[in-house]
Amino acid sequence: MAVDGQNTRTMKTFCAMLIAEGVIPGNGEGFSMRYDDELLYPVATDGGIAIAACPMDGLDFAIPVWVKRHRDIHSRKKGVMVLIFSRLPNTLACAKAGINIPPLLDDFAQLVGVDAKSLERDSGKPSFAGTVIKGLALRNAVLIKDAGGLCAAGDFDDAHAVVQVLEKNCRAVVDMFFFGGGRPITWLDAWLMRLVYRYKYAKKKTPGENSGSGL
Amino acid sequence: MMSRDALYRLSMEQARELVVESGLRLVREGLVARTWGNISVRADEDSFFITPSGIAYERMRPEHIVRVFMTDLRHEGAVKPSSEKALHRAIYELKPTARAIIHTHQTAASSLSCAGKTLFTVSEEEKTTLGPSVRTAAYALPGTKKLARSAAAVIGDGNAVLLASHGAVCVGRDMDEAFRVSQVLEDLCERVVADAAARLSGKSQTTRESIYSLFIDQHTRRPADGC
Repeated sequence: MAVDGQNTRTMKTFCAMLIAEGVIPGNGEGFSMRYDDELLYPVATDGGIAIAACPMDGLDFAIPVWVKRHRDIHSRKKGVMVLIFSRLPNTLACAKAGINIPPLLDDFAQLVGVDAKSLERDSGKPSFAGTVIKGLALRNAVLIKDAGGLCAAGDFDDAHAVVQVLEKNCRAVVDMFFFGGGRPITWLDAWLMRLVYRYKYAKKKTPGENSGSGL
Repeated sequence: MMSRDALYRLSMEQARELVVESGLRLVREGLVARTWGNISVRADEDSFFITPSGIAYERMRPEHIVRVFMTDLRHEGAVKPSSEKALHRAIYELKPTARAIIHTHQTAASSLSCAGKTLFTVSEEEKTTLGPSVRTAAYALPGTKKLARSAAAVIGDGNAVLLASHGAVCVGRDMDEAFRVSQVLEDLCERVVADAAARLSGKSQTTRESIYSLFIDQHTRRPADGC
């Protein structure tokens, strides 16, 4: 069901931005935003990208599988209002390598967490949403084997920032492979940075000043 | 001989406007995002003008730019300066000819900062712009005096320093030169990674795509069946 209104116009703008940056494919797949009891998601039409909506609860057999998966995560993971599945090249390379991502850069430690877990391929079973939610515990991103990185946050700006720092840190992981792996930030430093960042920026958050701490 | 004061050609208003314009340039050139990184310009001997803390570059106006004094890092006005002000002061103290500093989170340089290496410049352009080498400052938490000390300890005769696991600091006699330093540094870092990948793969040249292939292949290769 295509819908209209301020929220859909906003989402359309964000969707165009993510497509232009190469974060999501041209059909908009992998991007969803929750507004109250509805989940908005892009659909490709002959006229370009349109925004569709589905209720957060209840059965809806017409919605794509990836939207069902997002809806499960939105409804079960507190604080998540935006999900972006990033297919940026360094993120994808790390997802294909199937490795957990250590905090090589400090902005990753702040915005994503002490690491980003690498999960096996989506099994297609409903229980996979639970696996993703477990992987997102105290973190804002998780990698899924061969597919990309799922970034979660409380608003679009924060989710977009998570996409950016995940990609940058994944680039460092790829590059440091040729230099013996690089020196990750210690677990304690990473944890402290995340705590301080969340406390400091969440407090003063206003439009344009983002915390990156939606979870 | 030119007097020391004559070296400072910018009025306070011009300095503030230059920092705002340069912030937008930083975003436009992909060197930072959101409120990350910071910029300063030295407009007189006693102080420098630096970006504020926590305001996005797109929203920044000249009145947000903060004057910080060299002697004690005191600042004018109610707007809080960047938490990296000590880093900027440390470099201005070391380099009396420096008039502009940009602290970037540029991709290739940030990535290579995790190796903790010294990068030796090769081409004439690299030597002229960056100096003989670019060293990596030991890791320290952002905004700390330790980070300022680490960067100051390794910048030497160069115009750039990598901050381990964080980003880069680029210095110039004016803002254009600081931006030029950041661009040449980025190219140098790209080349160093490409060379390392070429050595490992045994090929003379690599592209980002071949780097990804090599990386994925090395991580997904199954160990050979053994006894």
